[in-house]
Order: sequence, then C-alpha cells, then structure tokens
Amino acid sequence: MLTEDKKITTSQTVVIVSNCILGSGILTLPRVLADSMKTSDGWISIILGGILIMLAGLCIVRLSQRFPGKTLYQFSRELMGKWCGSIFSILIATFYIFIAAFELRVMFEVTTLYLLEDIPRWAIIMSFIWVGLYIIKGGLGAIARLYEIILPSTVVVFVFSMILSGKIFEVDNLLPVLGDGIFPVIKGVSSTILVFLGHELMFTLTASMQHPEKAGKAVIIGISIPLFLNLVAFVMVIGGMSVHGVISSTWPTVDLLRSFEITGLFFERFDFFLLVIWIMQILTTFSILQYNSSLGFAQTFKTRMRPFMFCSMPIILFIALIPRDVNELFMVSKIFGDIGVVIFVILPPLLLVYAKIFKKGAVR
Amino acid sequence: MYPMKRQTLIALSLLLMLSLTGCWGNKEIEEQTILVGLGMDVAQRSSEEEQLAESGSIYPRKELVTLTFQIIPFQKRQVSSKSDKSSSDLYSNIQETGDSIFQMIRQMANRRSKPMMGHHVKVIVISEELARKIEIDKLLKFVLRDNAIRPSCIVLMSKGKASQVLVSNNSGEIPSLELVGLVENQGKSNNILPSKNLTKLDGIINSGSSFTLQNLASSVDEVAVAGASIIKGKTRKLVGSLSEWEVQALSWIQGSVKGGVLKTIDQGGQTITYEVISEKTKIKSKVEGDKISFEVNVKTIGRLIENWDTRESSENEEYIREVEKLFVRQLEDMMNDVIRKMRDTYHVDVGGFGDHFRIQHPKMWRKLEKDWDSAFTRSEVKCNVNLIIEDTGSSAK
Repeated sequence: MLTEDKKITTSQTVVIVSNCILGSGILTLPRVLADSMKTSDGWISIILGGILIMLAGLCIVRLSQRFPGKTLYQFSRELMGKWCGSIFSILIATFYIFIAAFELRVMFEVTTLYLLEDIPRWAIIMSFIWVGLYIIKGGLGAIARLYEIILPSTVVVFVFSMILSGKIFEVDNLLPVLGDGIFPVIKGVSSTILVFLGHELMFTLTASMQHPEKAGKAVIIGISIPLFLNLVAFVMVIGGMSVHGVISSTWPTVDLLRSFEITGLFFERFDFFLLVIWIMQILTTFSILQYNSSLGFAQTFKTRMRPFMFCSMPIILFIALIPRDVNELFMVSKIFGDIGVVIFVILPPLLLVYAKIFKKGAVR
Repeated sequence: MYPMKRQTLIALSLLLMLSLTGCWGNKEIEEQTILVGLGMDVAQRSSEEEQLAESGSIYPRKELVTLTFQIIPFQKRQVSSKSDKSSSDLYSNIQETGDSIFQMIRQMANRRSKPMMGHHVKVIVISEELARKIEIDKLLKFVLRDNAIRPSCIVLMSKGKASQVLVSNNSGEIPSLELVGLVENQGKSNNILPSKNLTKLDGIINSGSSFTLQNLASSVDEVAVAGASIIKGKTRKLVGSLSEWEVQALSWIQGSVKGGVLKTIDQGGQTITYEVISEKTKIKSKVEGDKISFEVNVKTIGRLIENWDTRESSENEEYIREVEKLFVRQLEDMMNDVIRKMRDTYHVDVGGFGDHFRIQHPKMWRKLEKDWDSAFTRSEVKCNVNLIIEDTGSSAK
C-alpha cells in the first residue's frame, strides 16, 4: 500500500525538483529573454540564472538540514518565532495555490489554441484538478514514482523534437556573442530566475529524504536537468526563428516546431508531441505545488492534509479563471514570479545567516 | 464481493458508457475541404462573385484584396465542363474579394457547405502588383496569428496574377504542391533562392531589413521560377525585382549555392559550362572611420561539364586554366552587376551584407541598424572569386 510518510530516495528528489521547475516557462522563456534583451545572448543568462538558483537551492538545503526531519512549515516557528513563523508558512502555502492556478491557466491557454479548440475553460481546468488530486492523494511516495516515469520521457521527446528542428537552424541567428556587452545578459538573468523557481521544494523534501545529507547533490542535479532543457530550447528557438521572429510569437517553442515538417519519418509534425509531454509537465508542476500548499496548511494547523487538498481545488479553479486574457495572465504570473524570487532566492541566504548567528536548529 | 460495492460498481460501469461514445467533437474527414494554397491579388471580383453580388450576397467591405483559395475536396469532383483551369478533379480554386483576410476565409462558409480547414496550407502566393500597393506584413498578419495555418507554409511572389499561378494543366497535379516541389529544387539549380517560410519571414519583417522573395511566372501551360522580388524593409512594400540571372549572382553572394550551372562563352564564342560541386562564400566587413567596405570571397570547386569547342582537349592543363579564368570573370561580373543593382537602382541590401556586418561589428551595427539600407548604399563592395575546375567528368577529351 501507499503510505503517506514514505521516505523518498535521492534520485526521486532529483526527479521531483526537476519536474516542478519544468513548468510553463519553457514555452515562453525564449520570447521573454529576446524581448527584454534584444540580443541572442539569452543562453548566457540561462546558465547564470541556473547557477544562481543552484546557490539558492544549496542555502535552502543547508537551512533545512539544520532542522532534521522537519519541513519549512514545522521549523519556521523555531526559526522566526511562533507568530512570524506561522504567518510565513501560511503565506507560502497560499502563494503555492496562486502559482498552481496560473500554471493551469497557461496550460489551458495553450491547449485551447492548439489542441482542444471548443472545450470550455472550466472543463479543461477541472479535469486537470481532479487528476492532480488523484496523484497527490497517494502521498509523496506515489508522486515520486509517477514523476520518475514522466521525467525521462519528457527529456527524450523534448530533446528529440528540438534536434529535429535543426532543419531550420541557422547559427547566424545566435551570433554575435556578447555583441552588446554584458549588460543585457545581467538584465536577462532576472527573467531566467523566474523559470527556475521550484528549487524551494527542498524546504519540504529534505525532511522526507532517506539520506538528507545528499540533499545538496540532489538539488544541484535537479536544477541542472531543467537548465539543460531550457538551454536547448533557447538555442534551438533563437537559431530557428531569429531574435526578431521570436519576439512576436506568443508561444515560441511551439511555433518553432510548427515551422517545419519532416517527410519520411512516419510523423510529419512534431508540435503535437511537445504539447503532450508538456501537458504532463504542467500536471507534475501543478500537483506538487498543490501538495506542498496542502502540506503547508496541514502542518501549520497541525491537522490532516486531506481537507486542505479538497478545499484548495475550488480555490485553484477560481483563481485560474481570474485573469482576463493572456497578457494579463503573463503580467500576473510575472508579479508572482517576482514575489517568488524574493521569498525563495533572496530570503534563504539571509535566513541561513540568521540561523547561523543565533544558533537556531541543530548545530553540527 | 462486498454488498455495498456492488451498487458503486454498477454506477461506475454506467459512467464508463460515457467514454464509449468516442469523440463527440469529431469531424469526418470526408466532410472537410482542405485548403492547400492561398493566392493574393489586387482586388478584382471574379465572375461568380459578380453574379452573387447582383443577386444579393453582399456585405460591407472595402475591395482591397482578392484571395484565391485552392482547396482539395475529399470527395472527388466531377470535372466541370468549363474550359478554365481553375478546377480539376483534384482541386478547385475559389475567389473572394474583401478587406479582411479572415473575413474572406470565413465568408467561404457562406458559399460552401463543407468548411475549409487551414492546417495544410503549403504555400501563399502574393502578386507583385499587390505587394507594391499593400505592406506585406499587413497581408500576412492573419496567417501568422491563426492557429490552424502552420508557420511552415512558404511565401512566394508572382509576376502576374497569383490566381494564374495556382492552376495546372495536367490532371493529377495539385498546383500548390507543385510549387512547393519547384522551390525545393534548390539543390539542382542556383537561380532558386532558399525558400522562406512564415516564421523566417516574420523574423525578417520584424527586423526591418530588406529581403527577397522567390518569384514565379506563369505561361499558358506552365509555371516556372522567375527571379525574385525585392521588398524594402522600411516600407515593407515591393520596390522592384531581380531577374533569374541576378538571383543566380545573389545566391553566389549569399553562399547558398548547392549545385547548378555557371555558363559563359570562350574566345571563339562557343559555350562552356561549369557544374558547381561545392561553394563557400565569406564576407568580410571593414570599418574605417565612417566608411564601410565589404569583401566577398567566393571559393568554389566544380567540373567542366560542357565545352562546345570540340577541338580543345580538356586534358590540356593550359586550356583548363584559361577556362577557369573565363568563369571567374563571368562570376565576378555577375556579382558586381547585382550589387550595383541593389546599391544604385533599388538602394537596398538583400545580399545578407547586413547580417555579416551585424555579427562582425555589433557596436557599429546598433547605430546603423535603423537605416541600414542607406548605409549599405554608401559602402564599397569588392568581389574575389577562387574557382577550381577539379575534374572534367567521365570524358577526357
């Protein structure tokens, strides 16, 4: 039977972190980067952003390791005091609900444009929420095992379809390197960080690991997989569509695959495959976020998780329906992404230093 | 089995029936007509439209564009006894005039019972006359936004009417697919430019640089490639065209030659022909103060495939050297001609010089980017050709 408190292995931790990071970002990142930088140097920003997130992830791991067996929601009270800690936990849990809802909305916008034109919005989003509930009901162990199946297929299909797009790849589109100097690259890093959010799962995962001492390694590998995929996506998209072509495309990664057809390979069109695996990715991101949020509420109020899982469902549906159109959705996601950066990238090092100075948690 | 579970099971199996209905959003393929090609012309109502309008099928519109839809109906049509070529048993062309591309496509729903689907549009043909009048990005805005028409579809120009290009005399041939095949022949012939699909075109239009599009000419029976049209980046309208000959020179400059022919005459006025095996172009740009200069270095290897002066032996090294020189001069003349035409006649850069400059002098490019065409007009271009005849094929004499 699936038990809720099953410990997860190190590789399962890697897979969960990767799946959580791989969300809607990979479809829009090339445009966001090209738009804000106006050069083709975004790949440098992606690498820098990834490294930055790895450092933040390590801080989170170090912090969690000071409180063995406890998740953020449990140790925040020890760390920040009773009230502050509880409020912080609730804020984060609420934040996850919003992010989960926006992931769903992005998923809806893409599927309604390219796949299921006539299906009403609530139907797509609601079926997703129910499937998500089914996954997280099984607990972390079940989630981890499902993700272990999804991630390899994602990587294989994604890299394969990106390699096929070599047909329209032109290296001139990626040159010159650093033509406008380093400044645009630094500007781009702030956009890439948003895409890599998801490393903060280590706040809760470290506690459930069989070998928490390997959490640092896990988070670095977990981030490097999406780092690699985002890098491949960016290079192929810019190479295939050029900076100017990407700027005007809402979903550039999908459009890249729509821009070529390959005859004689049994399948002629490959955008379909990308969309399929990508929907699975959204599902994984969504469900782990919902799980984490329910976990947060449950552990803060010291009750069971079930009620929170069910309660969050209508709330998520409601929030997902709020943005009026795609532009508003992008705008709101950006705002929430920025909040995420503050909480999960800037705050952890400070908390770690604070914990070290005031000797909070187990000092090794 | 637990007694309570039985009812649950029955309820669940009833629910299962829902999944047995199959897709309820299905569309039978026989019920579809597939749109394979789009032609865009200056507005001129077709005779059918005239008749429809007279009998009352009319809606408010400015008459700007006439679209030609090339559709493949799934059920084979009876060949109409009409003698015009706008339909055969495989395809039929329908025309619609108006001012919004999308409205015109949806207007088809008023005229045909089977809806058109745009997933398989392979080619868009725009007539030169229309491109002179209306900005190309306006014409393509809809196809770029549409979620059915794929951005892999290629864009071509036509010397005459686009509707004339989308016809075929041979039964069993679909003109749109023929056109795609024609443009893909680039490996065999160097007077065909690399095709531009909507994605590439969108990038180029957004970047504001001038570009060329493959041109087509139609005779009574046939459609053939015929040079290229030049579209100026600033106005996004057509400014002129290049002949087939000039396109050939252009592809040498762009380094897109993958094979094909280079022909010239020897001193005796006899034809000699060179078959390209490989070609490589390097463009170097230099900035000295305000002056920009380019150096085009073409390196090519090939074989002497034809010489009509049958007295000369191709084994003769001296003769080969001499012929090489003739080809080099020919090629340099061609390239200089087309560069002069770009610079002095049309004042545009369609040879990809801007791209090389962007990569080699990124800082300077940012300053000139906005008005690159005129910066190019002021620049100097020098061409060098290094041509080697490697072999003479399977005939030594």
